[in-house]
Amino acid sequence: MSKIPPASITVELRERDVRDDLVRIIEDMGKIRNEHISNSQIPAEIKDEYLHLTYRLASVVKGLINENRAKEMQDIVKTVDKDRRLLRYDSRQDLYWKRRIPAFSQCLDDLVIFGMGDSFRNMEDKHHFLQALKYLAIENETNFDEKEIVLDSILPRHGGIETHTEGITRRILGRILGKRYRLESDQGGYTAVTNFVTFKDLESIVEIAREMGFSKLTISSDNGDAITNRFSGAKVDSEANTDYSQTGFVDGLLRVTKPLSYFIIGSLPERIQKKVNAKYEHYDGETGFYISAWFEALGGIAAGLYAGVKNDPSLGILIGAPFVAEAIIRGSYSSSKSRVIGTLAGKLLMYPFEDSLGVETLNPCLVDIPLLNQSESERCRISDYEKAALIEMPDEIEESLIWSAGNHHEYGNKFAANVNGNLNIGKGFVDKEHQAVIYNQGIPIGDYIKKSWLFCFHNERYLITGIAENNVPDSDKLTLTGRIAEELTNGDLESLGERTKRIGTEDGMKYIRLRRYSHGKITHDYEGMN
Amino acid sequence: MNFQQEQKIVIRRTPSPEISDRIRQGKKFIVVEDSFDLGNIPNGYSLVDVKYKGSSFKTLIPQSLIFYMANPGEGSIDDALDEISDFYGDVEDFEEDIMRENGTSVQETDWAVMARGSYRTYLINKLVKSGRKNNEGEPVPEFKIDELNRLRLYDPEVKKITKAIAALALGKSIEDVGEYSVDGVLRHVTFTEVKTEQLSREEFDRITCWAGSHYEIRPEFKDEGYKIEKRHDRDFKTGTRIITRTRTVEAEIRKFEDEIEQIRKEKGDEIGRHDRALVRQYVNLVHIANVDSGNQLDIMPSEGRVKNE
Repeated sequence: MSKIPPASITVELRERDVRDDLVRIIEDMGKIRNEHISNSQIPAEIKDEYLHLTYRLASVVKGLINENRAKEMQDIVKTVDKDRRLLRYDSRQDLYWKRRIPAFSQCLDDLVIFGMGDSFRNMEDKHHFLQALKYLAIENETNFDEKEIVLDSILPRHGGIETHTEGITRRILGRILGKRYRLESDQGGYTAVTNFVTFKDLESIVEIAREMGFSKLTISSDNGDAITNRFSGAKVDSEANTDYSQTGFVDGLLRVTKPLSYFIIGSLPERIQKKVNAKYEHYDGETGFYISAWFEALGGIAAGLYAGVKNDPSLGILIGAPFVAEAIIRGSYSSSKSRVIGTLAGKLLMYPFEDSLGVETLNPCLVDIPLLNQSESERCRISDYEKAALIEMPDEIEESLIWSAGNHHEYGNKFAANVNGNLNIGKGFVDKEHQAVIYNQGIPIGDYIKKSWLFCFHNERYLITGIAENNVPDSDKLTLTGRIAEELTNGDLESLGERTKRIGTEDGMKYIRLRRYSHGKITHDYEGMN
Repeated sequence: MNFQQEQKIVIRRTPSPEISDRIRQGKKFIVVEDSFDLGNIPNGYSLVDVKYKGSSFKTLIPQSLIFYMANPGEGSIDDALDEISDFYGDVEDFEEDIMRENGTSVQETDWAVMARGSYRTYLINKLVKSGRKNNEGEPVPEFKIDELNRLRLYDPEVKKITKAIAALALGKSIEDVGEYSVDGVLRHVTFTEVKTEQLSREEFDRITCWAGSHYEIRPEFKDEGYKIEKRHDRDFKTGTRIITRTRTVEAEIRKFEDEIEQIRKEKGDEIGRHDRALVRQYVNLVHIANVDSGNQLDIMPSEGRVKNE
């Protein structure tokens, strides 16, 4: 050890230091999350380390917030209190919550942008911030059980939302709209299991399960091939065997009462017919259907004739025609589509029991559909703009950034070539009006875009990072760059802070940071939130 | 739950008479009272006062440790790794006191963050040295062959395992790990750990009993992931079982780390306190950081105060 530190040292932490700590903590939490995102079990020591990191994040967040931000945080906590499922919030469930409680999702977005600022990198960090808020929310909690519940819920990742049972009203509405489903989660909350779904509803079910943060949807279907073709990565998990060995009494009854039972069962809704066909050895679905259709047609004719002869011919037609017509429709539709359509009367009669009595498939198999969440793949690329801003260029190159009629055609080329020789930051845009070479990029992160501009003026560089909602049309982006260049060249250094604020406000940025560099050194650094 | 911005937490600080006991115990992070007298600073320690927004946080910290953390990479790397690990352990002990009160401390957090960062820097220094200079005159880092040999990272078997660890961390499925390749790895998460299976009738009969109007799962099978539909139909015997496999990604990474240690032990190596962390840092440097820095393995200072446990 070459130097012995003094016996007493005083260190003054600045907000910038605390913010740097926050970013490092989030990075470490992110590493733990990545490492354990697919684990069904997280080792206890890892949970404890994550809890320590959560405490640290809570400490720095609390150390940085102002009154307005504290109110937003309070709102988030109140929302969690109202809907306790949010205790097990995971950023992969975000689409679900965004739709149901937009204010909650928005407040959390704002908190992440506020906390991460320039280091804002992905939406997964919302998960870590909510864990910190949960920790802060139990500061005054005297009930140990409640404390324990919250501390238990502080984990590097959660699964999907555990149960999604439709309320009675929605269930009825769902039936009217033709949607019947129930989503259940497995023990680890990774897989959503749905009981029955028609193929046409599958896309919306997949979307719901993805929104809810599940990683996989397991579905029982006879359309395994169609599903695997439609959803990339979907695969048939296991074939379900049809076992006739224990059908017992009912099967025997079917065999004995064959013509009558075939007529009755063939008139029932299609799903029930399929169920009986799949389950009982002595029932043949196709035969049952045709017996039912013929009986209906012949019965209609007989009833019509009887009524016509006994009473009035028009009454005979009125009674017989609907049955004959329905039988013809059923027969023709079924033969062209290979289906077994029941009668209207059977449908109405059995409608309340169709869900519980109906079969999912003729040859059921389990199909796994992986549900990759979009935010998982959104990772921010590291910008080299800062490195470029720090490069000290030879005088000759710097001079080339001063425009004159003499270098009109050459303007900016030398500088851009020199930057590209050092770093690969893309092609600069030469702005002769403001005498600058400008680099810019926009990285979409969730609903936001992280924009960076590097303005290279003679002996001056400005690096601006802004976070805005990702809804600015492309046509406006160039205008925006021109406006910022105008703002940067229009005023003295003393007003730079004010101008930074103006750029941020006028261009609807939630966050803005402006750094000015000169001769390889940073001279000004402004940061602001809107 | 309730969130309050202003809340005073009473942090337990070591009173002056107890300080010598703590030093005798070898503690490296001793939080002292605000009124601590400068004249009582023990030999080899410094009193560090970290202030934030007017609040003071005073600690006694060994001077050697302050040196290591203020000059990351300098001095004896082995000592630094040990001291920082001990320090981190003490910091976490103190954190637990605060957490028991559900408190927070910006300054204490700053120490913990610094310890983690310094530890990683020393790990890199343990593995890497400055090599020859590039065109701009900057030294290009090179691995220390001796250290890599000590950790047997050139051993073909260990080399394969480190690549497999990286592949797992980068999100390759366990089935694909056998290829031991990290080329062209894209992040995707596969979940092969949880499986839902339909029950056979035999299994259904084994795990259920007829409860008069419907089937119930027998108590001894209640926590084993079985799900059945409760219908008033004695012939309806349909259900699923969710099987959670224990072969998880982390288990695999740990298993791989254990395997490396086993190989080394079989070859007569002594396993050092920081070796596991060194292998993790090596995997980060060689295989992960350049592909997806966000997916690097987390490294925390090693537990245990005795060297070569």
